[in-house]
Amino acid sequence: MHPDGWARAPVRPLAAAERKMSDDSNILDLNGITKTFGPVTALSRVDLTVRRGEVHAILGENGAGKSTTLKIINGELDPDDGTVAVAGRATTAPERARGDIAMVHQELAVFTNMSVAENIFAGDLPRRGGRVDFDRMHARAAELLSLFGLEIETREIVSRLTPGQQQIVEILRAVRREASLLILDEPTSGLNNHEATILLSLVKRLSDENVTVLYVSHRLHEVLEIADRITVLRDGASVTTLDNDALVEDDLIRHMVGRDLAGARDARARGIGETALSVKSLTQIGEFEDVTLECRRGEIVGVFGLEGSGAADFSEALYGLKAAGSGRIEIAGRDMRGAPPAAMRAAGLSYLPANRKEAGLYMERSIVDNIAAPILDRISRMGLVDRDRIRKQAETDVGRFAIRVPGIHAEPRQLSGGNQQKVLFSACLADRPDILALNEPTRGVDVGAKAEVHDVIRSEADAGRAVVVFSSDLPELLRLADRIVVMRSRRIAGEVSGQDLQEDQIMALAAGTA
Amino acid sequence: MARRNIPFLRAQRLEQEALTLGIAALIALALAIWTSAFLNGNNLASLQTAIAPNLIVATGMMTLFLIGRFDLSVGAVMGLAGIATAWALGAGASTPLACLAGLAVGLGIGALNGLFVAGLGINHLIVTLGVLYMTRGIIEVVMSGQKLAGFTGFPEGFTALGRFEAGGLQGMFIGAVILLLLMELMFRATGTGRNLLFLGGNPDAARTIGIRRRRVEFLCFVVSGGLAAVAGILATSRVGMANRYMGEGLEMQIFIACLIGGGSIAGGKGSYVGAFAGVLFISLLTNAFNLLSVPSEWQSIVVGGVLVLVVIADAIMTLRKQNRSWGSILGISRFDRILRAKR
Repeated sequence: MHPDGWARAPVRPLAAAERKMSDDSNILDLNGITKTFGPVTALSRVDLTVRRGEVHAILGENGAGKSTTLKIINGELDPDDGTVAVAGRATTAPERARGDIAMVHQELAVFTNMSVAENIFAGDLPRRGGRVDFDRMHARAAELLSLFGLEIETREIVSRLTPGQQQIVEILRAVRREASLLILDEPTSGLNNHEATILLSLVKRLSDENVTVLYVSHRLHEVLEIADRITVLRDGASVTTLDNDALVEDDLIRHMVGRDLAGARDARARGIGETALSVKSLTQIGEFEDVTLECRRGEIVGVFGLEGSGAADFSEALYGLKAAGSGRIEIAGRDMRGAPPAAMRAAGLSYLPANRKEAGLYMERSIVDNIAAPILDRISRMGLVDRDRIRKQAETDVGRFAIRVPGIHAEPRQLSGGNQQKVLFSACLADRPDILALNEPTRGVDVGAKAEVHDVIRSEADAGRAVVVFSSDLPELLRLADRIVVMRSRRIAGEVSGQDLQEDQIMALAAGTA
Repeated sequence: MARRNIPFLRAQRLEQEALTLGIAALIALALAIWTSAFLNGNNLASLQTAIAPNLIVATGMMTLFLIGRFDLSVGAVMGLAGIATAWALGAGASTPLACLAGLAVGLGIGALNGLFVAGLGINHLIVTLGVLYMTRGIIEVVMSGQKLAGFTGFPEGFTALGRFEAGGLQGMFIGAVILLLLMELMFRATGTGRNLLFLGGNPDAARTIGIRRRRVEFLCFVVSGGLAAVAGILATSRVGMANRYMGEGLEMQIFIACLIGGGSIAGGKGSYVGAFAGVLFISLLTNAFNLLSVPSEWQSIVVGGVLVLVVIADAIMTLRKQNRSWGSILGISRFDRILRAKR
């Protein structure tokens, strides 16, 4: 592997001959891959074949098993069952980790403190006589950049680039390695449309140069634009592999969704009151743009977006955890944009964080303390906490939410995921908020507890609270929400309600160009 | 994505270094103009010999800064290395052998720091703070029963080491500058040097490009300890005594010099030229206080104040880059009334 070999690859006759000779062998063969994490089956008998020189897309909803599959291919995980063959030869995970596969992870792994050229050649800086050959490095980096029609100064510090440019720099690092298989995991998730277009043309160029690309995405139009073949994953299994020939988005959506869609919704009939929360053109450039949303008392509004849609950032901005550059967050007619979480809470908006271990619960404190934490002010007298009142509150909540605990002084880490989530809910509801913003309310919760959490959400709405649910679990939203607002590429792609609350409709909005 | 030229200082990441060096030069200029004593041969000589050990220690500290670590034990290591050398000389060892003994102490303590931080993954602040106290304790034990001046009366061969001079230039100062320039060259031009920056900039990504983090970290701590020992040996040779006061509080001075010179405790930023600029700035400030007969207590106030200013300016710049409003940066909230209102 020559550090700059790829840049010259098109004019290397030997390399071309090699490719020709092995054209018929597949670069990658996954056969019956199964992987479980504890009781959860992440993958079950996944098959995948990537041919040399093709752009192969893996498509699937959140949680379909895309990242586990990639980790196995990249040698970060060992499958429980099944074989992974690279260029026709069965391999172990460590072999693949060391081998000839270059993967660009979804999260940026650039060195923001270094120059563009150094990032591209990181780990393999061109040297001459023990010194780094900066002239050659910059010349080659410029060559590589211009090959893709990119106008980025190679001496620029990467922290000064846009996220899109940073992503491209990181991809070029993988390209430069001239690996036999290049894996791109959701490469456009952090990019705006213009940047995504540039990236797609880069992938097309790579494909013209005979580089084999495994492209993972949930953006249908991208996949249709660049892929030769498409494998759809659903619920941890490979559903089908399609030739990208006269395919349309609906074909893909059908395979991605695949379940029985009817009857999932619970009938709900209740009075909907006045507007409690009104978000107007909320914008933080690069995260979410022009987001407008309204939620009334007694109403459950779902917000759905695939990874990179901006829904997650928006949910945090709503509670003041993230900055929003412009727009309004109106609570009871008052603009709360820029307010810290404590002020949001005081204004009547309560938030359930997505990650209960890191952002939600005090794992080392008792359940009583967890429930009391947000309302210490209210249950204190002259600055002293009224332990009796907390205890009563905790006992009520444990009964009300059917939290299965050894006692109210137990620590959350002793509880199951579902019961932890219920404790978090109690804390969230402790100060009787008018508005509830719930972020992934049932993530990592088993089926039984999930139904109980859903009951709680519904009863809170029935009690006249305005509820906004952010979830990547589409069936959950369909079951709960009166309306679903769909985000894509940082913007609202559309809103669905009533008869239109169908999984394929929503997926078309979230993933495609519908 | 327009192509444009990058200014030299930014491309080389020398913006803060240039600023600090410029201010240091202004201080020197002001002193040269307004005090008669500054350009005096004795003052320049003592300035050089005061700066030299600090430069050597700062070289080691900056190496750690680059990878996002630091070493608070350097002052104590400097002291113990000087004492070990002096003790060996007293026990009849030759000058080279005694110096080796001092060096071994520094390398050994550096290796200990490295073992705990890189090997066991313990926080470097805690490890080096603990080792600082331990080393100071060892010094107290070794020096108990000794007179206040400590070890004195060294052979000519040893004291010549720190007292060599030629044409108004102090040998140890020149040596320290050469060392620093060599390190700067290593840092700018070699793969090893760039790897320090890769590691400091993004430790996780550095692993994926094949940098052996623990090994590099360990070696940087050894370098830091070793250089602190060299500084201790030279200082001992210069002043002709080794006592319990040598290097006391030095770690903070060097730490501050590295920050002022463009280093960052988050890593991935800084340079040896910056370490030089920072040390020069603090030493000239100290010299100015002495020449202007300002009580020495004021030095700490000013140096600390400068550091706080630098850090605040840096933090505000970072937050402004994230589009945060002045109100939120300064913690002024128009929502205070809501917060105060009990619901």
